[in-house]
Amino acid sequence: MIPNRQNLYVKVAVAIGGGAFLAAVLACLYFFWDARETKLKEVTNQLGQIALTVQKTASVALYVKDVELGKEIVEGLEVNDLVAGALLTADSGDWVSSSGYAADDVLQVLEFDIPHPFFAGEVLGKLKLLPNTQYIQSRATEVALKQAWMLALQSALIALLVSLLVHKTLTAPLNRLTSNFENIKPGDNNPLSVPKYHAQDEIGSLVRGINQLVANLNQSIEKERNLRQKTELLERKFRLIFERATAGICLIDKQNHVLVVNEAFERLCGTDSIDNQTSLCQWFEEEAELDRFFNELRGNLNLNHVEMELQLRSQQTEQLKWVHCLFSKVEDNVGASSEMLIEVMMYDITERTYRERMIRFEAEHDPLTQLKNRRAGERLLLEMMRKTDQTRALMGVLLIDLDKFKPVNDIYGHEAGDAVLKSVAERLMKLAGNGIVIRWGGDEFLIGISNVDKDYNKLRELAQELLIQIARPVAIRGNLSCQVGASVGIAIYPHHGHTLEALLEAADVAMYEVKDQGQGSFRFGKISSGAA
Amino acid sequence: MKLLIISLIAWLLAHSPVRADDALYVVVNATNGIERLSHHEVVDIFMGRDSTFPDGKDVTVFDNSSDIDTRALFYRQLVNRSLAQVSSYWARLQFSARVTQPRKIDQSSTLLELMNRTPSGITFVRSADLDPALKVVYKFDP
Repeated sequence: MIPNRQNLYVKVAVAIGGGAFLAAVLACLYFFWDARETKLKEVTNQLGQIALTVQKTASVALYVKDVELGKEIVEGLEVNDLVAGALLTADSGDWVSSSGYAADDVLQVLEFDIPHPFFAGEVLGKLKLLPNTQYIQSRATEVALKQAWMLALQSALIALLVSLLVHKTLTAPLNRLTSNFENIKPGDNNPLSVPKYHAQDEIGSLVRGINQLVANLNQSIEKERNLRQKTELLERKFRLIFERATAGICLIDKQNHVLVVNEAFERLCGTDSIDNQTSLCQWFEEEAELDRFFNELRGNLNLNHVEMELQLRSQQTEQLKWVHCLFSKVEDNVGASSEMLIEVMMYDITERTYRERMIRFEAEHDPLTQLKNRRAGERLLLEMMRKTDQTRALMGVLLIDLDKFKPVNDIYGHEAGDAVLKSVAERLMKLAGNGIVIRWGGDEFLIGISNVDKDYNKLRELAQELLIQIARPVAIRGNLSCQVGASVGIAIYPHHGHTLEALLEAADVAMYEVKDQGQGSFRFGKISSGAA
Repeated sequence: MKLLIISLIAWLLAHSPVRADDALYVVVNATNGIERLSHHEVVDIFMGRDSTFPDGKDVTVFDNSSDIDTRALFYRQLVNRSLAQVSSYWARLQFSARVTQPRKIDQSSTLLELMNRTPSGITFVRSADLDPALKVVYKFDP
């Protein structure tokens, strides 16, 4: 953190220093060059002036060809620091030169015309001056260097001053501000203090801005926190509802894959490892139908909630469980795409179902023999008749009345009578096969047989076998056994009657005829004149 | 009187054509072989550049100082310099070994006599002072 904090100051100082240095170097180079050029120009001017000073005398000397005078002039010129040597030359050729004049340095030589002393426009010769280049250069450099140094010093001073000012007025307050800023903790309401002397400038407004921001932030953090607490509470409640619910709840996706389940659901399924790759349908006995149903539910826009009772294959008990299921369509909006999910709620209704079945069983069956009671029997017979109508087949009704049953009851007691009735019922059940066996009254039984052949041969065989089986002795207590017989009256639908009443009447008549003629036999009903 | 004459000359020079009589003549000894000199040659001889005539014979210059106006006019016409300037010119060459200022002759009679005596002599005179013993080699345009 500390190097970072110093970074700005160092950066600014380096930038200013670098800029100043660069500017100074460039300026120094330029001024050095400029000063040198100026100095050289000035020297050239001076040389011109010097030449002008001696021009008149040189003119006279050249005119009268006075070597002494000429010598004096050039020697005099050489005394000057700026002049390395001088030469006076007439039009006819070199005339007089100073000792320092070297002709090899022709390029540097400055030439001045020497006019005729009396005739303007006429030129007598030239004065050639050889500048003292070394001296001039050193002087020029000296002057330029002095200027450059001054400039460099000035630049350095300015850079230093600017850095100090920047540090004092900008980076130092910023540094303090930064270090204070680091101490701000979200949630704390400790505003930064405005630095001294900066109340009116940008730093002051920055501090105020930060304070405002922090205050706003704190407010929204507080709001957010409250909201989150509320949400968490709500979520906990919802989760409680979901997790502790007695109903099994799950969500399935488009492939019928289980997305989420609650504990009750797992309990119902008998496993706690339901992965989301398994289809929900496979848990149910009605697998294929359920699959079709889901497709229909998704496709049908008017269908939103469906309730049904299904059989669940529980892993624990190997036994099917009856569950009441409520299927509801749920739209899950995730981002831009929405997915159609189905929510499933299941209640275990196994016990209730068994109870209901038991009640229904009890309502329809005779408690002693477990055969259908008369009421249920009538309904079943009517149903069988309807089916017979549809198939244009024949249906037989055998009314069986036990012979010699009353004596058994009277001699051995009701328990023996009950045992006989139970045994007979079992035997009838065995013989009847697909037929309906009904306990019609005290010792009266009725069997409904569908698909009877035209000659009633099978039915006859059945009746014969019935008589034999019923006549077999029945064990009562210990080695004690007794024997009963039966009189059977048979009616064929629709030959002996078009209604159940007519049919039963015909069978009843036939049975009584058997009774009258000595029991232990069977007889077919008469074709009623009305029916024919 | 002198002042009057100077003013008169000045007036004449300024306002009226100079009379032929007032013209200045550069003259040499009648025996001299030179017939004509150019203005340039006259200047070179009188101002010390040449110490010989164009034909190579030595020259002796006499500076006619008999009349200051004539002398002033002469140098004015010769090199367009005042007498002071001419003095200054010679002062520069004072220490020269090679050139010396022409000898000044104050008297017209002395000048004439010297000219007669000196075959290499040369001087300037006004038309009034012309003499058969003198040969005109240059005449200044009036």
